[in-house]
Amino acid sequence: MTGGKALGTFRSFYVPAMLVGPATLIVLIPFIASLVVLGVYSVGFYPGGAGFDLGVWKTFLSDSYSWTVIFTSIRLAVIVTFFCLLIGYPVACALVRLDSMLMSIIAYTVIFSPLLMSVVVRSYGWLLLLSDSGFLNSLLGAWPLNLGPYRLIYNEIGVIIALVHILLPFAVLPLITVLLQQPQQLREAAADLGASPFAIFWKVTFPLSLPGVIVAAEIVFALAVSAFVTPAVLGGGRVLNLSRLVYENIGNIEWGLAAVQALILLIAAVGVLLILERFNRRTFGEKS
Amino acid sequence: MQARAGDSKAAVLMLRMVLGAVLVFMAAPILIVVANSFNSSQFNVWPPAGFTLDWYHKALTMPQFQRGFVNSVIAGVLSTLVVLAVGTPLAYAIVRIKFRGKSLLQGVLLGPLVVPRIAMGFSLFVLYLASGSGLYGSMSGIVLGHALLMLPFVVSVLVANLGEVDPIVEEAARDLGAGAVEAFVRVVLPQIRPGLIVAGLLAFITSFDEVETTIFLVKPVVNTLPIEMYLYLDQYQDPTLAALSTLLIALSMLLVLVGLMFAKRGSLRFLLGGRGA
Amino acid sequence: MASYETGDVVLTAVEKCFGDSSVVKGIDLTIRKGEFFSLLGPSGCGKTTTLRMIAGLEEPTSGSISIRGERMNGVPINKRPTNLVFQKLALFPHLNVWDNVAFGLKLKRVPEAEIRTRVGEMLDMVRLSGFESRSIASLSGGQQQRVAIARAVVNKPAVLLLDEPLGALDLKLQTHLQEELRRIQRELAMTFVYVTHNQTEAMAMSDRIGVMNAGQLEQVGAAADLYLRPQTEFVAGFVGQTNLIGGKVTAIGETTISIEAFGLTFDAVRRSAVETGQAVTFSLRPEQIRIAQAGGAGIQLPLVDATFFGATATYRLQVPGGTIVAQTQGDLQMLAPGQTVSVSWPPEAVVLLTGGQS
Repeated sequence: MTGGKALGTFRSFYVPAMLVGPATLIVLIPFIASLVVLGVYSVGFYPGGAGFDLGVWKTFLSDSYSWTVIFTSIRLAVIVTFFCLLIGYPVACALVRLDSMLMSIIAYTVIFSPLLMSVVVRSYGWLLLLSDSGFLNSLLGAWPLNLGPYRLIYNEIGVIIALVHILLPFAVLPLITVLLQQPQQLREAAADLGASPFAIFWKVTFPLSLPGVIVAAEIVFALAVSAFVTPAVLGGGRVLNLSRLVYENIGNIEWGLAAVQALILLIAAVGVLLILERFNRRTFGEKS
Repeated sequence: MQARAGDSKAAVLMLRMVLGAVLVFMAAPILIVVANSFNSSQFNVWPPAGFTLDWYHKALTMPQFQRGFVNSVIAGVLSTLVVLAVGTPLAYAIVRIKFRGKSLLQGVLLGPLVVPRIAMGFSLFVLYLASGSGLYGSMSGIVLGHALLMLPFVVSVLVANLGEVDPIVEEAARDLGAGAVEAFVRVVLPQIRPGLIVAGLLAFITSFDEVETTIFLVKPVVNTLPIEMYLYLDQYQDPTLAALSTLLIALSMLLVLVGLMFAKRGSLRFLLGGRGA
Repeated sequence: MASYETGDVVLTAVEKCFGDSSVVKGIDLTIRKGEFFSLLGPSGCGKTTTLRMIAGLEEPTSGSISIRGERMNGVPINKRPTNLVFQKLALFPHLNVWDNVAFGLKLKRVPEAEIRTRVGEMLDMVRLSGFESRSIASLSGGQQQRVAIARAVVNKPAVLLLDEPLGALDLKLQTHLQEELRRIQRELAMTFVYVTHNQTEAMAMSDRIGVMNAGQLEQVGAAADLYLRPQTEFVAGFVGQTNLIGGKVTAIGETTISIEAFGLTFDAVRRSAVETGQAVTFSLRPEQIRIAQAGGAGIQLPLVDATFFGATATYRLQVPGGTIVAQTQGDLQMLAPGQTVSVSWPPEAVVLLTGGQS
């Protein structure tokens, strides 16, 4: 019996500990520790700080400039999420209807391979396309249109266009997944019952795909609200969001302020995620 | 384009047009980078003033890009090895073993996914400084940071793969005389090889391209390539960056090709809407 | 070492609990060297758990298991002299036929040349020569089954354990592979422990059968023993069809006893100690019952219904408080329901069930 008991402890404790231990020690504990340190810094405990002090929080939250930046971050993220879903949905519908292998490979490669390229490269590409003397303005300015030039960079327009490009693949992927899971028979049954193509889409396809739409929105929003490189490159310092402030305040050695801003960024990202997840669960039950 | 039940012709045509437009939208910034890398004007003027390869020469000879490339490769390889080494047993434990604290562990594992990269970078930065570990500005610090960002992705890919390996084949290997580790190496690892390759590539690419967390962890000597590119872009706008980007685009297209070649014939069927699969 | 003489596998008071539920409730069993032994029982009776404890996939909660005189408790699965043929086969999908079969030998660092001979011979024995480099997925169900058998047998285990390996195959293939298994077992004189819920399969192959029910071993014996001399109601009912009848001992003679049941009195062979007045249950096999036109020898019973199966015919007969079933050769007596027939059976057909109530 003692042998069996020892074996039991071995199986129930040492084996999982050996498997889980390395990841926990090397990765998960530093992760948790870093968030704890972040919280501690935000209330005044940092080298050169004055000890416990909620002053930084109070100052930041009572400053109207802070709120402008917070709203800019959220507004950008909402607009980008909206366009990613608006464009991503028909794209996903089109992708699941492709029936030529060659066309599929081309379409999937063009849409998803940008994920393999650095955000710096892609943002730079948009800088080239949208700049005053760039491709788009030279196209619009040429005969017969003779329009422009338009200011498309160093403002929110350029940032939004580039972010939609960068985040679109993240929206399309969950949408494809959810569309492929829909049984073909459902649409066939609806058609058999006399539904028009329009009715089939709004009564069957779309409602069933909503969980995928929400997942897509979660991912795109979380990435957009905390984007750093693209707003920096295409905003040229004129589009200030929370990420930018955190970065600048480290340069200014404002540890406490940077910590507060990083936490607010985290709260914005996680908060929207929780709201969408709650909506998802309430509407579609535990399973989705 | 394959019509599905209940599709109207007009709708299918519209979908086609949207897809076409989006393909142009997705390809445009990449094509323009490639085109501009041969532009002899240094102010990104369109149409190009003339053809030159000078920017390639400049991109390849600038010391910060050479050093950045080497740093990125080292960081990519090391963080991929670390994350696979710790992620594989973790994924195995999640799939196969019941243990206390498992759901807590899975919750924490989601953390790096939801915490914004910038916040993650700053938190790690203060942790590295506060712990007095000397990790700030070191290659180890970058590797740790990248492993942290990638762990959730790697574990989820491996969990999905391990879920398809029947636990009974491990019992069979044990019955035929294999120790626990030996059974894993001989029977489980070969079956999750596709997952390991996908997870490894994903980890390497993410590490290679990472800016938003990394920028808080580096000192100039360990700057990675995308950081150097970002810093360069802040200062200059000549096509040197276009040339460098083109080389990186070529590298990632090569990866796509390799991926397509390694994918089994049947495994690409999902591209056709999962039909027949 | 004493048990080596008596048996290859010895189970002593083996119990297994999963949490609160007790799956195996104290089994004592000795399996002889070189015999084909089957553990037979319905699903959930604990037979597979018993097999997995012998293999080392589960540890007994209490009791001991020894193989060739060596205590196996605590010995990990990979160090036991047993090999298992899994119910779901568990072939390695990433290896071809040859590498699947050679897997165990390679682990034991058997010299390359010996591996070649042994695997080659083994594939010959299971008639899979020429399939060496085929992938597992390209094989038929029957071929996969042979690979699974070969992969286990090639290691020359002291005991080969088989967990319902033929369950997923069609009837014709099952019968064929049963013969193959029996042939392989005789050729190698290896101890086989075979788990099945299929009594025909167990009877077709086994030297001895252990019938399990609700975590307990009800009876161990050769197929004929279990059929002709079941000791418990469960065994009588599970191994073949039978009529279970409750009655009372009314008289005890030299070689026979008299039993009263549903108002009739008849004789049974005296095999075990009983007392007059004792309540007993006995088994009466349907095919032991003879039926003739009314007015013949025996008791007169009304016929409830008759079903004709070709080779056999089944009749249900009315007795006070129920019916009994009789089975005859498929003679065309054209007995019609409602008519009265003469029914008789020899005293040795009445088998008293002395084992525990179930």
